[in-house]
Amino acid sequence: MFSYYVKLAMISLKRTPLLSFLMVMLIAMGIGATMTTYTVNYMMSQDPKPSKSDNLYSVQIDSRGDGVDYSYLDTIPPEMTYQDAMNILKSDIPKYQAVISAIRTTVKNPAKYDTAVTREVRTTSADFFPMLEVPFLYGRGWDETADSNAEQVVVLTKQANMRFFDGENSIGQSLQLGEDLYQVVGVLDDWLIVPKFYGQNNAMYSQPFDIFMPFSTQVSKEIFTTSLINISCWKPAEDESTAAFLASECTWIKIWAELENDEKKQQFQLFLDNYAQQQQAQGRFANRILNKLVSVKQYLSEEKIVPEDSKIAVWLAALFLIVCLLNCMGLMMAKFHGKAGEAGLRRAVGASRQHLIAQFSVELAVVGFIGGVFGLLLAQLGLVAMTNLYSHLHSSLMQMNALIVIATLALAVVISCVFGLIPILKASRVQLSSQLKSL
Amino acid sequence: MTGLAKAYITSDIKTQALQPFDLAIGQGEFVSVIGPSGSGKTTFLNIAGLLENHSEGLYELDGQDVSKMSDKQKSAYRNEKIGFVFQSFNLIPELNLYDNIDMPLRYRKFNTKERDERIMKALEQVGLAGRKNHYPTQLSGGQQQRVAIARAIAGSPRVIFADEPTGNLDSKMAQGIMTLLQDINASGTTIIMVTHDNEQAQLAQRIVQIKDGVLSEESSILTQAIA
Repeated sequence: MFSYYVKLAMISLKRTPLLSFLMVMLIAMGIGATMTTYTVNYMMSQDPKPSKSDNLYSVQIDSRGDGVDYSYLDTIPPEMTYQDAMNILKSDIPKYQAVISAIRTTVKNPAKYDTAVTREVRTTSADFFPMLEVPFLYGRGWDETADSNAEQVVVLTKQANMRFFDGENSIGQSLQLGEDLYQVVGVLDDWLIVPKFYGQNNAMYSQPFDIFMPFSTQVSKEIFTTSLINISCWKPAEDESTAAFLASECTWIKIWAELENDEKKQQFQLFLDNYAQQQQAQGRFANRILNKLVSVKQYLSEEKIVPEDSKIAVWLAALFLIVCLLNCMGLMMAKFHGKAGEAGLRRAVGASRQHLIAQFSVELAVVGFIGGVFGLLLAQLGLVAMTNLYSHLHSSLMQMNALIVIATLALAVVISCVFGLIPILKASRVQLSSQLKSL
Repeated sequence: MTGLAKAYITSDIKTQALQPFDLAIGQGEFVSVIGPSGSGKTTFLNIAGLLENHSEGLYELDGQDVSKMSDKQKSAYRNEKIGFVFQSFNLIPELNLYDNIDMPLRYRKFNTKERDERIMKALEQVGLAGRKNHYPTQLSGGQQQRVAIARAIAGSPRVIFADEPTGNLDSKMAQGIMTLLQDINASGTTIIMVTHDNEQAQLAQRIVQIKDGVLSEESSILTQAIA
């Protein structure tokens, strides 16, 4: 009977083309607006590294000694001091662990007559690349020796390689950062990681920084860009020298670690607790001992990575969808009122109420499906518009995946039937004897 | 039908559409129901055809008390054992003749082959086999009524209720429809026809008259012939 009902639905749509068009467009507009905002929100909430996010942890220690009672707070800042970061990096419990910071500097290819451009540079350590399974087009990441020796090496993104070396294999070539020359050791392939959980919260949805260089090199070159990192000092540095800053209680470095299993996690937690007690015995960590290994999902939740605005936009769009559907419901009433004669005839020749309910439900499902298809097209247009409007955000945020496409069509069909329930029930309760004369 | 009556009650007004009456119709009879407009003929036909409920009395169809039937049972009964022919044909204009006749068969869960056979047989019976893909608007009134009759007989019903089947037709077309109904009756199908045309009513074996909601048996052609 389903195919018969679909055939009847198509005939019915042709019978009242304007009404059907309005119904489809109302559903399409509501679905389009909702799915545009929902897609962005959904993509923002995605697990950035599904293959190993359960084993990746933000290493957090509370080194504050300002005397303030923070016991009401279970969360602590994800940044730590330089001295703590260097001490924790010595642990061999994690499979990988990488420090994370950033600088901004001028960049140019010294072999080309080209003006220098300002670029953000991710400073990190060798484990960053294997830990996040970063794909390479040419070469590879630097090794631990480069970290230890603060070597002047860089890894470029594919886009940066295109910009500075016209996309050619640039391994072994020099790139000028500031006044110094750095040797290119690796070029990334296309790399999608959204949200970019490892860096600063305000840059989670932007493209990865163009250039990567060893953190140790940043420190040895004494390059700091405070606008790209969160610096918090509960006690000022002793003087303005770099050495004093590095020895200070200012927190500004993030550490991410990969712990292969629960046993390793417990071992590393114990290592952190012992370290904190050791530091407390030396007069630091005066407030409390609180060390945390925060998983990626928990980190994204605690740091409220998905903006509230985005969630509100989804709710507003959902309200708009409901308004569209309520209007559509009125049109459905009119449509089924016009079918009272046919309903009466079908009942007279033997259709039960269930038959009519099924027939009309399929008709609305067809309307909903077509509305969903048009809604998808409108959502696609909306996402293109948002991509242009928010060009600084990662373009993958504005792309629907197969799951969203299927969910959109299913949503359109289901809501059409749900909001059509009253018109359908009303139409199925025809007064047979009176409606037979209205065909 | 024993002591059957129908009253419409709206707030404080009660309108007695049909006064209590007794009537028995046997299998294979051709009964005409006559009376002036507003006398209650169509109400009688709607009750008899299970399109409307009666208010009082007992109505047994095939020995089954219809007041005890559920809505679903009544639908199934209408589908399997009753055929309707309406004055205004009641064909769906967007469906071709084949699909119009197919409509009741769809609810009968016949397979495609059986539906096809029944539709073609019904179309042949009404003389429109070559026009199965035509739409109702491409046919004359008489042809449309033939399609309605084909729809009514396609399911091999035991009884056909015809409400003014020739009311919208000229005399020549009406004559053809009446002949068709007589042929169908001759094959054993009971026909109960509402009409206000006395001449056509005389073609039936029995005539029941309704006047001001009062039903009375007027005559029986067969009885008169024997007398």
